[in-house]
Amino acid sequence: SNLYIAELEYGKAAFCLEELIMANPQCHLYHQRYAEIRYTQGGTENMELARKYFAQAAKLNPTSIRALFGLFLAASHLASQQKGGGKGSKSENKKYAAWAAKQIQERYEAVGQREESQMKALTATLDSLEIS
Amino acid sequence: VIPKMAEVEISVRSYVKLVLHAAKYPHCAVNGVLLADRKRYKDDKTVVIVECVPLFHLALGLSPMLEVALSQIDAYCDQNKLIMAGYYQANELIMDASPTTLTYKIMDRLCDNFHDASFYMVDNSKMTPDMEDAVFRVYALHDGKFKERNPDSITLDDQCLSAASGLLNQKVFRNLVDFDNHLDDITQDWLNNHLNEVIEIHSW
Repeated sequence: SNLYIAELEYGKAAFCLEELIMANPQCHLYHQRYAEIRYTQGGTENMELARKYFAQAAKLNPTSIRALFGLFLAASHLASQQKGGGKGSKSENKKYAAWAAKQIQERYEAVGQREESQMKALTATLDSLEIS
Repeated sequence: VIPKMAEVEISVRSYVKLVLHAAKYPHCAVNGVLLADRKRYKDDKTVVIVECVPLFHLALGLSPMLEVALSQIDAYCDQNKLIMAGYYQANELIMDASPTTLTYKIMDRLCDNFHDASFYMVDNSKMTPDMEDAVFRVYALHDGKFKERNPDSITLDDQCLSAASGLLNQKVFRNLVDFDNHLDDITQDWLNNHLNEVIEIHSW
C-alpha cells in the first residue's frame, strides 16, 4: 500500500488496507492507515469512512494520538459541510470533534514536561481547525 | 536558473537538522519545513532560515497528519515571529532528486502564505560524512513555474558543512525527532530542543 500511496493511487492503497484489516481486525494501525487514505481521498463518503475508522482505531488503542487527531479532523470536516441535528449530522460531528480535542489536550497535559510554546501551538491548532 | 531573487541564508541548526533527518532514515523518503525569521525578511528582504522542523518518514502523501503538523508549526511560527519559508524533501531512491506531486502540493500551501518560499530537494548522493557542499538544490517560483535558484543566492553559514559532517559521524541522528516520532510518542519534542545545544557546540 505504501507504493500505491507514493503513486497517488489511493483507491488501490485503500484496497490493500482493507485486505489487511480483514486478516487482522484488531490491529489499530491498519484502521488508522485506512482512515488516513480515505481522508486524503476526500469527499463526504470517504470522510465518513475516515471518521469511522479513526474512531475504531481510537477504540482499539486509546493511546493513539494519530487516531484522535484523525477523528478530530474528519469530524470537523464533516461538521463544516453539514447541516441539521439528526443522526450523523453537524451537531453529532461537532460533538465527536470536541470529544477528540479534549482527549488530545488531556494527553498532552498529562505528559507534563511539554514546553509552554508547544502547548500553545497545540491549542491554537485545535482552535483553528475547529469550526465555529 | 533564476537570475535575481531574495538572498537565502541557512543557519547551522537548520542545515544540520535537515541532514540528520535524511540520515536517520536512509531507506525512506523524508520531508520537513524550514522556518525563517520574519523580521529579517521585513528589514532587508533576506530569507534567514533559522529553524528546521522534520516532518515525516512514513507515507509522506497522507493528508491528516500533514494538516496537524502544519497547523502546529504555523501556530509556533506565529508565536515566535517566524514564517514557513521552505520545504525539503529527500526521496527514497538514491538517484532520485526530482520533486513529486506532493512537493508542489505543499509548496502551494507555503507560497500562499509567503511568496518567497523555496523548496529544497536533497541530492541523496551528496549525503556523505565528508560533505563538500550543500546536499540540496533549491527551487523557487519564477513566472508561475518552479525553477532552480542560482546557487550563489543561497548562503550556508560558515560551520554548516563541518557541523553536519561531525554530527553525522557521531550518529547524532538517532536522537533526532520528526513529527512521525512525535505522533507515535508525544513526549518526543518535534522542535528538537535537546539537539540545539549539541549543534551549537559543534558550530564553533
